[in-house]
Amino acid sequence: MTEDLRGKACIVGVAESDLGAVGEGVTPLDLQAQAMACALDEAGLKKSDVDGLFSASVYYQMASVEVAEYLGIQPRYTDSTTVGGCSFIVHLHHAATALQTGACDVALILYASTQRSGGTGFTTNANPSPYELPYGPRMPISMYAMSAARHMHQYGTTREQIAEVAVQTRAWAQMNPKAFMRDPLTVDEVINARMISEPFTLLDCCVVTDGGGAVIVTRPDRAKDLKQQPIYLLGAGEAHWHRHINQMPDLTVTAGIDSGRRAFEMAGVTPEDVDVCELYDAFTIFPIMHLEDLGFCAKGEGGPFISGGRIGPGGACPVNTNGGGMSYCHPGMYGIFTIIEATRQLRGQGEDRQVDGAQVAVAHGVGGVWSAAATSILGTEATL
Amino acid sequence: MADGSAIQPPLKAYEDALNRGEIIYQECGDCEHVAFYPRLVCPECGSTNVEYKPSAGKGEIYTRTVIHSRNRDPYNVVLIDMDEGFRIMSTVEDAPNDDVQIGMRVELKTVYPVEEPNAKAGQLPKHVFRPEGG
Repeated sequence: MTEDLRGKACIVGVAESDLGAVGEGVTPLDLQAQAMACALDEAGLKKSDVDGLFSASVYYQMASVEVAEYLGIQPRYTDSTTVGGCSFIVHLHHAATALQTGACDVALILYASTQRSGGTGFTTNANPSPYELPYGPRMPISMYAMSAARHMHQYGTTREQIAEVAVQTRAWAQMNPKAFMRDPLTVDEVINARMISEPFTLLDCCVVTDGGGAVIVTRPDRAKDLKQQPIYLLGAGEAHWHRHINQMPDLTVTAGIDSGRRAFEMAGVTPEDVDVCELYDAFTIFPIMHLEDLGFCAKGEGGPFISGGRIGPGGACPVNTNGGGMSYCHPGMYGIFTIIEATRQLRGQGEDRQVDGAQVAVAHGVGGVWSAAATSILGTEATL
Repeated sequence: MADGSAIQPPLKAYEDALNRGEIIYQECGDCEHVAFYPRLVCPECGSTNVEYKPSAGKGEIYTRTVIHSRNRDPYNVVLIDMDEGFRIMSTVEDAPNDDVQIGMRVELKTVYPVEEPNAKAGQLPKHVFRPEGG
């Protein structure tokens, strides 16, 4: 049976909490409350309208239950699905399904982390594999470094091409006042930064920040009366193939080929129709492999594809217009921010970094160690 | 009344093999799928008819990284495609890290027991490889 959610749900409110370094004592629950209040306000909804709650966390095992208590929400539909950093893109898929069946009327997706200020350093809920633990790979960078090494070996992807991802993403960040890192960056600086896990240096890695976000989703009939231009979910897909890197069949191909195919088929569009991409970027190799897996270029051609400024400001294929996890913010899990920025671009609220006339956007992410993947295709009313 | 479980834990079988200096993997008696790590069911077809096999301990580096840390000398971590058709994570000794590259042939060198002072819960003995013929 073919799943059809095309145009059945729309995003009516998005917001970030404070980002960057929020200071000691602030909890992830505080940040989620702040983000929720901003998102409800811009949507023109009240907290009492929310009856579906979605959250994932590395802090709270019962993520949606924990935050519901703090916020004083008693949802009739709840979902704490956790598949890593793309959990929130999965939540958007699940929310659309729940909205369509009437299981809820207004869905709220929440996330926050205080991993920078909380004194806990990089926080993960990774359960190390006993078959990997004795060898001391650094989690998760070494897993992705091995993926990049294989990509370079198999397809001739160059170190410079991989570094270009960080450079072009930084150029977007320079146009986003909320971005954590806004200084100019060069390919040489990326390659010559402190080596962490070959071939990756410090500047191949995302920033480590605090931050949170909120996304509110409802049905189109409800969206009509709200304050923001509704942004429609055209297609959604998810997939997971493995948990640990030693079980990944081909380190150059992710489950994104499945989640992407499902989302594009449902949306009835192709990569050529996409105006702007928001792609999870915890490390520089990510956008290269995402663009391949989603069909923007052939497998192995991601390096040449992104080079020459194609994914940066003014490029033919704008990627991570907010500055991405590389430069804007990356509070442990980044997925919710791909939805927030895609929504803003489609509303025309991208300010200095607005992609002119953006009508179709992709929000795509992975979780774990290339373990899970989720894709959302979003569009304006004109794309229905 | 049942006393414990009838399960012969695959993790324990793997650990016992390592303690004999051997790496084991599994082959499905029904679909012939080769699997690592050991499990109670074949991850391909779901059969419980899975057999343990000893590996000859030879393979080729599928991918690699070298980890640079402030606290210790750089060390390599590799994924090895074993000749029997399964993949494992390990490390290569007796070669400079720069020589430990994708495509290199390697063989099992030895298995180090879990070091008690550093032993973490669930930590297994550590197999290490060296260049083939080394």
